[in-house]
Parts: sequence; C-alpha cells; structure tokens
Amino acid sequence: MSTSPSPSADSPPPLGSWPRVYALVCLSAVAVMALLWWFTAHHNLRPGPP
Amino acid sequence: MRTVDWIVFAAFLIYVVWDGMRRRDTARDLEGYFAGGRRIPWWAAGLSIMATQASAITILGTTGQGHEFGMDFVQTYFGLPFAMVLLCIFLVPLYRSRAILTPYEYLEERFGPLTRTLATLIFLLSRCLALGVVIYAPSVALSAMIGLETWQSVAIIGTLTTLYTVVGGVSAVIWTDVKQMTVILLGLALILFVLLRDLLPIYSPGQLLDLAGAAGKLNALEVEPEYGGLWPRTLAAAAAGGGTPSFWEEKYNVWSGLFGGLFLHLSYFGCDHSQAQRLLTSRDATQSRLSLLLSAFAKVPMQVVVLAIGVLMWLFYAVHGQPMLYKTLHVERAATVELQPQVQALEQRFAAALAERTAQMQRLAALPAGPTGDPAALRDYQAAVRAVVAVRREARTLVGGATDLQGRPKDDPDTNDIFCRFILDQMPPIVLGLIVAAIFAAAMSSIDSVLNALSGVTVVDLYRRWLRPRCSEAHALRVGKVLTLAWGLLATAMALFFAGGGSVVERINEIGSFFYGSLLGVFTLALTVPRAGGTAAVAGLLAGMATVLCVRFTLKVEFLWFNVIGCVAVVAVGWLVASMRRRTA
Repeated sequence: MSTSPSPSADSPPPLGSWPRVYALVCLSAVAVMALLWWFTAHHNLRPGPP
Repeated sequence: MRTVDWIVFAAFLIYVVWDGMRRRDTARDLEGYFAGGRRIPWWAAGLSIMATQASAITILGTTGQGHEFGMDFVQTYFGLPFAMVLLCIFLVPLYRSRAILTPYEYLEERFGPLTRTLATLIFLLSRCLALGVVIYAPSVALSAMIGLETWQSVAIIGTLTTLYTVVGGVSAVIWTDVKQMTVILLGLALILFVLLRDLLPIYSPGQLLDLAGAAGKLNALEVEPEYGGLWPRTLAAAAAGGGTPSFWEEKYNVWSGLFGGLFLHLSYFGCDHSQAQRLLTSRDATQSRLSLLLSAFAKVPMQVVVLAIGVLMWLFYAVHGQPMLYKTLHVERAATVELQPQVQALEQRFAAALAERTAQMQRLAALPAGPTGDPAALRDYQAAVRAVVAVRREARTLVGGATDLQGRPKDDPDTNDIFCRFILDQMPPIVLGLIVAAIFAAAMSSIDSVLNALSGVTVVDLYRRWLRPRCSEAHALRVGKVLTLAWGLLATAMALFFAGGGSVVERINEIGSFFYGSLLGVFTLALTVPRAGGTAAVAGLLAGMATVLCVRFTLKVEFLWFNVIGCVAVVAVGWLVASMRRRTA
C-alpha cells in the first residue's frame, strides 16, 4: 500500500509491562466467571421434568 | 409515542447525522477516510468497538433472550477477554508494523494474491448478509411503535446511516459511535431504574432472586452439560426423535462459550475488517491494544446487565400479568374473525395459567426458607411457569403462520418483540423517546462501521489490487465514497430479504459462524505453519468452509462450535498440503 507507516514509536504500556496488563485482564475475567458460577449455584434451580 | 418522545427521538437522529457529516474534513485522502488519519484516541476506538458489537440486537434480542430463556446467553462472551489478550499479543503487532488499511493485505504478503482475494470475498459475503439482519432488527421496533411498514423503517435507517458514513468516513463512524454508545448505556440504565422502582416495593431483592432462580432464569454459568451424549447425532436422527442428545447440541454452556466464543471473538475482532479497522485507526500499537482491552473488561458485565433487564422484565410481567402475544403481527392475526374461536379458548386458558402462576409465586415468595424449603411449592411454581410458556407457544403457533418442512404449523418466536412491547406500555414520556433513540443508536453504530469496512475492503483489496492498481489517491477516495453508497443500498435490500421471524441475535452469530472459523484459520495458519504457502492457504480455506457446511447439514451441532471446526479444519488441511508439497519438492 502507498499509505504512510505508523508515525511514532509505541507509547509505554500501563502498569509498566504488557504481561502485567494481560494477567490483570485474565484474572478479572476468571473472577467474573467465578462470581457468575457462585450466583448460578446459589440462586438458579434448573426446572425439573414436566 | 407522544409528541415529546418524537421530539427527543428526532433531535437525536438529526444530531447524529450532523455530527457524522461534520467529520468530512478528516476524510480528505484514503488513509483519512478508511483509517481516520491514524489519530483516533484509544478510548474512542474502544467505545466504537463496543458500539459496533452492541447493535440494536443487544437491546432487542438479548433482553428478549433474558425474558424467555434466562441468563445463559452471557456464556457466549466468556471467551472474549482471552481472545482480546491473544489478539493484543499476536495480531496487533502484525498489523501495526505494516502500513496496511485492511487485514487482508497481510494475507497477500504471506500467502499471495489468491488467498487475499478469497478472504476478501468471504468477508464481503458474510458481512453483507449479516448487515441485512442488523438493519432489519430495529426496523421491527420502529414498525411496531409507529405503524410504519417494515420496508419503510428499513429505508429510513439505511438512508440516514449511509448518508453520514459516505461523507465522513471512519472518523464519522467512530465519533458517532461514541455518542451512540453513551445513549445506549443511558437508555439501559433508565430501563433498569424503572424496573427496580416498580418491583422493589413489592418484593425484596432476595425474593426477586428466589422467584427468578426457581423459574430457571438465573442460569448465568452452567458447568454441567444438560445433555450426556458425547457424539453428535445426525440431523436425520434428531428429526426422527432418535439417538441421544449430545453435548454439542446444547446451545449455551460454559464450554461452548469459552472455546466456541474464543474462536468466534478472535475472528470477529481480529480478522473481520468491520472490527479490525479500529486497530488501524489509533496512533500506535499501545493505543490499539488498549482499545481492544476496554471490551475485554466491560463486555461480560454489560451483557450481564442487559440479560438481567430481560429477567427483570419477566418478573415485571409475572407480577403484573403479561400479554399472551407480543408481536404486533400476531395480535392483528389473532383479531381476525376466522381465528377468534380458537384464540378466545386460548385466552381463557392463558388467563387461568397466569392466575395459577401468580398464586404459586406468592406462595413461594412467602416461604421463610426460600424456594428449596418446600419442594412441593417449588414443583407447583415451576409447573405453573411452564404452563404459561406452553399456552404462549400454542398461541404463537396458531397465529404465526410459520410452517416446518413438512408443512405443519410451527412456533413463530417473538423474542425480539418483548422489549418493544414493554417500553411502549411502561416507559414514561421523554424516557420512551430516549430509549427508542437508543435502539436506533445501537443499529446505526453497527451499520456505519460495516459500511465503511465493506467499502474499504472493496477499494483496497479488489479495486486497487485488480482493476486500477495505478489509480490516484483522489480517484480511489471517490470510488470509496461511491462504494459506501452502493453497499448501503445493497445492505438495505438485504434487510428486506431477511424480514422474517426467529431470534435475530442468534441468526447474526450463525451467519458469522459459517465463515469466521475459516477466516481465523487462515490467519492462524500464517502464524503457526511457517512453511505453508498460497496453495496450502487456499486449500485450507476451501476445506474449512466445506467442513462447516457438511457439519451444518448433517450433524446436530450448535453454531458456536462451527468457529472451532472451521479454524481447525483450515489449519489441519493447510498443514497437510504444506507437508505434502514440501515432500514432493
């Protein structure tokens, strides 16, 4: 393509490094899923057969 | 709608079109028109990514899903945060280290022009089909609310969105998306407030949870599969009622959400240009990554809230009584003379079923130990809930006019109409206008992105690649604008074609799932099999799509798994062909 390349160097990642950011994303996703699992287990009652 | 609602709604539409069109200054060359001059801040690109995914379907279809089937649909998004991390690691550096305008340009660099063109055609076909559905969904709402024909609603939405997208390019898309996402969130917050303000004086939060949970509506994460079979049944066996239902035909559970959802979202955000274009509009790779990670944090909680609104709507109707039919067309047919005797009989049964459900609900809510404290009361409540569902299904089958392949009457679902009925009947003035505006905002924010992406891919990957390689920047820009207009018109025509029943939200994902796995597969092949060349990539792509089609028409497997099947088939066949060619050489 004839368009210009990315004009500047990458700005620094938050929290100092990308692996830390990715770990935070994955941990928060797991935490949300654990919360939803607990919520389902405590409140949902799968209807029995008719 | 009241006059004041019309004023709010019209003011919003005028503002969005004006806001989009004033971005024309940034769209003076190809990079400005299709990549926003690579100056879009990460938070705007991130909100735009969310707005594009949160189409009108998020509001109409997902709240309807919550009302009818509970919260299990949220599991579809469990793979999304992990998909975003993988995209940040593998695809963002790949795209941002090259001066490309579409992801398919990379495929030519890696595999040659045939693979790029094939991927381009797959994208154009899948997105055009899906776009028709995205325009159709809010048109249903508009038709139901103000009595327009569906085609008239389709024409209004299609025309306005096309207008500002043609003029302002991707900058118009992104900055209008930011405003549209704000209106969507505001609309959702208002509905949540209205529902809670109504329900909390009647039942405590604990009782509401008990009542919804006992009806099976709080199924947000199901670890244990509903069906025990390990091997998928054939469609023929399933149609005949034979064989054991398998794990693969359960629509939503944590496993299909994690694995099928992971592949779906990898492909959607990384290889579908309507989303991947945002990665190319930011200043650098850091900004691109941050725009993706905004969705990784916010999408699952947002879906939980949207589905919870659907469950609260179900509770609202359980407390106050609900209509037997939600769809305007159903209500009109039910009023016809020839159906009156059967409809009246159904209405009597429905009234009795509602009264029984209310009585059982009050009995269950009064139990001090909760629903598990009295198994008989729980059983009776669940039976009463099922009875209401059964009569509603019978009524929809009677008035819906839908038939199966053998010509027998079948259920005509009204999942997408529940939300419209609720807001029309229950929302106060101004709030109704704002929520209707939110539905339109959701629709337009998805349509504009796809129009710009379809036009960008057609110009960059087809027109400039094959037809006019030496055309000037100004000429390519003019062609891009004309193509945006042409795609807008075609998508509007597709919307009219799709004007049928069924759950729109599922149909969108189904359409994507036919192609997404294969598209992701070819990028995965590029990254994981260094010796794979153009022949291996093309063979893999064709084999991936053929495999998905074979599975779709022979086995009872739910659509989320198509993404995994397509991707694995492309990589496996691509690897095999690459190995054979190496041996031959």
